[in-house]
Amino acid sequence: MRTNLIQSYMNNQPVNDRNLDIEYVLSNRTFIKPLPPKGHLVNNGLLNMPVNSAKRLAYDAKSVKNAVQGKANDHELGKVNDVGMKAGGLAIALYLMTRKQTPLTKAMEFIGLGSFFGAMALWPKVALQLPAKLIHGVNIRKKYEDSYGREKLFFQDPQYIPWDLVNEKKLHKIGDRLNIPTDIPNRKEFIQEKMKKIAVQNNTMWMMTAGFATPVFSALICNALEKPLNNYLGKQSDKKANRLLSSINDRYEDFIDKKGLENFKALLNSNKNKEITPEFVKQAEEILLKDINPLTAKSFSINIREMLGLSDKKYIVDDFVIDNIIKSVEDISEHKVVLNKDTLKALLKSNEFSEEEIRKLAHQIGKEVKQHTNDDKVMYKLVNSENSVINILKSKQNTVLSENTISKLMRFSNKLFDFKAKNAILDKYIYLKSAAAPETVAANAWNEVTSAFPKIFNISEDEIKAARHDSKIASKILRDKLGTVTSNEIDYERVFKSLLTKIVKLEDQIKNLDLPADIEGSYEMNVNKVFGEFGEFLQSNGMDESVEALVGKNGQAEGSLKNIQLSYVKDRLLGIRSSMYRMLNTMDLFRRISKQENILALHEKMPKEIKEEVAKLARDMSIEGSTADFMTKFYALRNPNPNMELGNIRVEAGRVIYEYLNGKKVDLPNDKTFFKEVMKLMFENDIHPDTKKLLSKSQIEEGFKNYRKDFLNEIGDSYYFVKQYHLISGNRSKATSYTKFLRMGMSPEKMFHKSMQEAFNQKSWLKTFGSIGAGLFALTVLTQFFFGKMKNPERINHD
Amino acid sequence: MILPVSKFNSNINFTSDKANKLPYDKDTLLKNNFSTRARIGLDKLTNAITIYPSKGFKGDKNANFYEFLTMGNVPYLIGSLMMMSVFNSKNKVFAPFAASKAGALGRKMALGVLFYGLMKGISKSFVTNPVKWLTGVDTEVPYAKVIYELPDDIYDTDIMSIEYHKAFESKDFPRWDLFYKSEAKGENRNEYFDKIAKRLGYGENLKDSDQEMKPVIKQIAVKTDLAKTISSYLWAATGVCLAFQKPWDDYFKSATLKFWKTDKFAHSLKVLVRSAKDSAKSLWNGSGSSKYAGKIMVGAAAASTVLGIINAIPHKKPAGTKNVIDDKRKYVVS
Repeated sequence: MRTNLIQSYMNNQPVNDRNLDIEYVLSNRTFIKPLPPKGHLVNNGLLNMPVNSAKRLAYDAKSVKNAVQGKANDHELGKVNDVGMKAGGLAIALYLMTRKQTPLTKAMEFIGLGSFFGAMALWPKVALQLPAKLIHGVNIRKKYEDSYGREKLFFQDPQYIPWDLVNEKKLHKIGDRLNIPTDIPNRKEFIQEKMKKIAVQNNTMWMMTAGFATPVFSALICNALEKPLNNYLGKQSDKKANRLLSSINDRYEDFIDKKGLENFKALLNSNKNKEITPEFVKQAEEILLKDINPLTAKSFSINIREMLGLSDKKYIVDDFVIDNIIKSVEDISEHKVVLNKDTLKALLKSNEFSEEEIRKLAHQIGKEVKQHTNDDKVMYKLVNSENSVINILKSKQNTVLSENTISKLMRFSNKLFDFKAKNAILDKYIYLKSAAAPETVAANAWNEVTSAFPKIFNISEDEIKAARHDSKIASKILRDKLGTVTSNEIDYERVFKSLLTKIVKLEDQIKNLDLPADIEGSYEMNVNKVFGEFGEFLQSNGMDESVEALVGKNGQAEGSLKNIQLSYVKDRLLGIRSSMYRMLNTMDLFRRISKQENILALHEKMPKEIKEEVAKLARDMSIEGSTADFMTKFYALRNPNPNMELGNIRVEAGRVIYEYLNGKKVDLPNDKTFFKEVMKLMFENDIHPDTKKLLSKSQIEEGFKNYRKDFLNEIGDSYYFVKQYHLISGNRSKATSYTKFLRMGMSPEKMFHKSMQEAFNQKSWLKTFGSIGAGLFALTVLTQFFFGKMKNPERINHD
Repeated sequence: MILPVSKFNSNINFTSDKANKLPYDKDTLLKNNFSTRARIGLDKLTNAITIYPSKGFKGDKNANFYEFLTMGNVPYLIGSLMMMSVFNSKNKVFAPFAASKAGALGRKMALGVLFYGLMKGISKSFVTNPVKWLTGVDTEVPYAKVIYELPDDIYDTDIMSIEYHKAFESKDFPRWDLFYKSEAKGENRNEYFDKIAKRLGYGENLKDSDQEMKPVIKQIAVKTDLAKTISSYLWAATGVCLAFQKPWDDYFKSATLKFWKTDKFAHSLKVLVRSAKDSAKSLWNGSGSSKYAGKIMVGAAAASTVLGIINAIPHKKPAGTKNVIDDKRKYVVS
């Protein structure tokens, strides 16, 4: 704290000195002097950044504190404004984050906030301060700290610039840089005026451009950061998934629904030694079977009811029940006394009744009532009303919740909740890795492949623009590209290699998912263990229905919960791999046709016109064939009376020159060889030697080979009643329709079309706002050359 | 006793041919009402996009900090429009599905920008008005400041201009002088301070109500400023959150500004009201992971307002200040 010199002087005055010589004091007034100024320029170098940032943060905190106490000064209140703006921004980002589903979209909210403030702070530095410094040698955003420790921009207020803080020598050096002659009068003042002018012009430029620049550059920053951030988050979630699975036995306790377990315990305790009511069973099942699929839950429910002793229920009809029946009958029949206790008791042979006996008893009561009332509808009312006789008869069961049953239920529930927790980990693992959702490991790897299409296939901007409109246009562009690429050895190698590298990378990301069960730590091993352990427990407790639903029976696991858990992954991988392999297979087919090699299906004895038909359909189907096309054995419009001339098809620069494809065409459902030849050309004839060479170095060689074989078996041999003999091997495929659908994968046409749409959206946005950003930046920098223009003062000649 | 500081002649002999055209010839406290605020707002905005940039780009020697700050409104306006454009302008070239998805989000972003500005502007009065009603101190009271500029040359007589400030804009140097009444006109010099003293329970007929009340008023102004600033940003954030609610989609489907098509325009207004109501409900009730987020957001904004007001109202009189001046002694102040 500074010493208050006035106060100190007054305090130090001798109290009894009443004869102060005021004239002397006044003539000797130097005793109270202004304190020496402490203001200085702030060095904003990179090295000082951490210290300066920490100082600013502390100052901000102090400003808020002082403002709360009502002591803040103007400068501090200015800082409070900055704090408020950031707090508001943070609140928006936090709120929007809660509404986003995936880590990337959540993180992007903060990137958005950061980039906005970043763009706001960086624009004046990069577009104004730096060019001004380079062009004029003037730092227009120099800061100084005043005597009170308040940091301000040196040129903030043009009417008050603390020139006294600037070293005169330095000022003249800046003057030299500004090309101000050394011999002019008042050079120092002129330099100051010029610097001030440059600063005022730049500050104005800042205000006029910031509105354009901040949103645009903020968006551009977000755009640039999205991909790296996604890659980083992708790796993180991959690691997270791996960690979860490898520590499933330690981590599962965190996933146990402890609240559910507590509720179940409480339910059991509150019903201890009480009758087991339907309401209790309902509540118990609601807690136990939460998050279990309805089919499995049904099986569990059977065993839970067995455990409760409800499978052969007995109902007690005692005086209480009888009184209730009499009351109900009176209400329903609107007669005062219809049945008395004795009549009713006479109908009862015992006090314990089975479900069937209850129904009979109700019928007897009904008859009795009808006799007394002569009301035909009374029977209906007695059975169907809310307070029906049947419900009353069933209101008391002979089962009570014994301690023995409770301990059995507790053992079961503990194991069930453990299982559910472990299952949740398995689910989470598989979700992070391969769910059909954005930002999973598989989805990211897939996007890596498809987003590279424009570059790999060398697609021009005009082609992207056209291809994004319609899948048919995309298909044509892809077909032309494939034709050109596959006709040239260097291009083919380059394109196939790039695509292969991307696909191998994808394979790398997903291959761990279908490691076999005998590999320690594999997903399948963990599934077997989790389901096996719980299955054994259920088996040892005689819960056969649950065992069957969980893991299957007698080695028949199809349809069991465990099988679903495993097949989900297998199906996802099948779909992904089929799509990727189909793209590679299409490229290979085009290469073989372009080079007229390994096209055995188009054998010598086949007429040229049919060869053209086969080649055309094979190329079309490879690129755009859907499941329906293959399942219906192709609807191909062909010439029923083809020209029988022999010869090879003509291919020029990857384009097949069709000579016979004009004229009227029909589908020929009886020609079973046609389908076979097309399929064989696509999937059976050896792959091209170049393809083989490229694949031989990769880890997907075997997978690709199996894909072609399986495609032939599952799709080529699928049965279609209209064209029932159109089978490759003659044996009908056993594959399910879902497997066939997955085996088909996504068509290259669709994959390409989507990729083009994304590329277009990205490019189009970037083109517009990138140009605006670049234009604005260029304009802002260029204007520097017009700033600071002043006429040098001339010496006035008094002669 | 303190010897009075000798009065100096404040009649500076500036001459200006503009003097008669300007609405004020000296610094004048203005009435804080809608019409004054609108007039000042319009004046500042017009200057911010015309005179001030022109002066600034020329590097005029009279360009000052007030002009720079006033031009600060320009990036707000352009930035808002630009932001709306960043989110929406490219949607029309996207494929229909992507366009509809991007459009739904983009329109909400644009609405968010609009609500941010609206809420930020409106919410300041959530603090300043209650403080005014409760303490009598209007921290927002404006005044017109007459500026004498440096002439360009000896023939330049157009050297006067008006700036609009707020009397409590600077907490370091509030314009107390504007609150004094003229004794020469038979008015009570300390009328304003007497009124505040009475309102805040400091009693009536205080000897030096101005000296007693100045620190109190200053403290109110500082605390009000804090509450106004923080809460306005939180209300602005709430505005953005409100704009992101799903029910607005309904409004955008039928939104039209073609007021001459009365049926459609009336329908659009009806849907606007309904969407606003549903959106407010949706913000408050939330769903899924944002179940409490809306409540927290609105709660934080409301709490910052209420707590800010409570903090701004003086709760106790300052302890009697020790008289550091000995009446029996003679002091000289120069």
